[in-house]
Amino acid sequence: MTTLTCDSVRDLLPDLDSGTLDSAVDGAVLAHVATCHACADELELIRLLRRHAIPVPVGLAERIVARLEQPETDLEKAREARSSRWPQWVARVPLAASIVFAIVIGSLWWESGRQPSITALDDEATRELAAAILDPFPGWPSTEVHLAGGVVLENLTDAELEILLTEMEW
Amino acid sequence: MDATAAVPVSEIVPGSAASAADAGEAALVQRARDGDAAALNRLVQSCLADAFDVAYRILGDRDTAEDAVQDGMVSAMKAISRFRGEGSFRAWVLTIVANAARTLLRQSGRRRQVALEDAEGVEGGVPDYENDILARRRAERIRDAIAELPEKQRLAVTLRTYQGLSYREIAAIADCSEGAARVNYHLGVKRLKLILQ
Repeated sequence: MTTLTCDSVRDLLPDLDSGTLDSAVDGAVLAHVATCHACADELELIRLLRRHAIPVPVGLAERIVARLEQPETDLEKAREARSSRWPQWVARVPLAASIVFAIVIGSLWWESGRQPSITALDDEATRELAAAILDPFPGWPSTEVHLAGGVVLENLTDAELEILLTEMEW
Repeated sequence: MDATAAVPVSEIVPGSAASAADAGEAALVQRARDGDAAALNRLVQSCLADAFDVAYRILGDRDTAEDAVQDGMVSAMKAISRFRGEGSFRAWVLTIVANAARTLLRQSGRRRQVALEDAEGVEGGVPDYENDILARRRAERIRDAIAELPEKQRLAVTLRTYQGLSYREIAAIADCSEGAARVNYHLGVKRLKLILQ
């Protein structure tokens, strides 16, 4: 026969509270608890914990059984769908964004290197028209000068300055 | 202070009584293996509360815990032929569910956080708003206290207290030695006492 120590009693307290101990052991543990405040306190704590179990979501068992009854392929699809909390199209957004980004950057790069070549046009009149469209004021400083912040006014004639002043007064 | 009694404690394995009491489990498992859907459903029902509790203690979130329980239990039931009967079927299922929960925890990459809205009281009784509020606060306090424990202690305490598993079974689920499971249980209980004082 062995003595029933606090350590061995504390190991058995959850079984005592759930009523799964043999009656002889149950009686011995209860007798120990009746005379030991520390073990009695621990039994109270275990009872308190056991009163606050986590409630199971409603319908969970049915959902599991339904998944078990599904064919394997449907199961895999369900798992894949659930594995991602985002809609599937969201996963493709980075790829689509990369493609759009590449197209935009490529277009800008191509446009920046592209100079309209009116010499490629066959007809003289068409070439002149195109030249007029591309550079309606051939004597004026190019837009590149404006963008570069160069001195513009010094390049203007008196007549052009007059026109500019008139426009500014408007 | 140790009180004494003449009991052969060396023969008592904590949690073993619960396994022995569920003598019909082996028969149910055999029937489920033979394709008996009703037996399979009963096994699902019998393990469900424990499985959800384990998943929730690991993940701290009801929705993700539900996903883990579904994944784990479906995997377990589909692989029921691989259960060798070395321990209890429940412990085997809980091990698989715990692994599923850890997988989801890694995938989500988020830390455990017990949501307060999950801490609803489960105590029944007549409607009594004052007592309901007190019960709810007490439930929140207890769940928060459990959530404060490190994972191994939390698992050891809940698996031993709520599920009544043996240290050997807890060791398999918590992925540690049997001795470590026992130590974790006692450390967890000690810490809970301090937190709840």
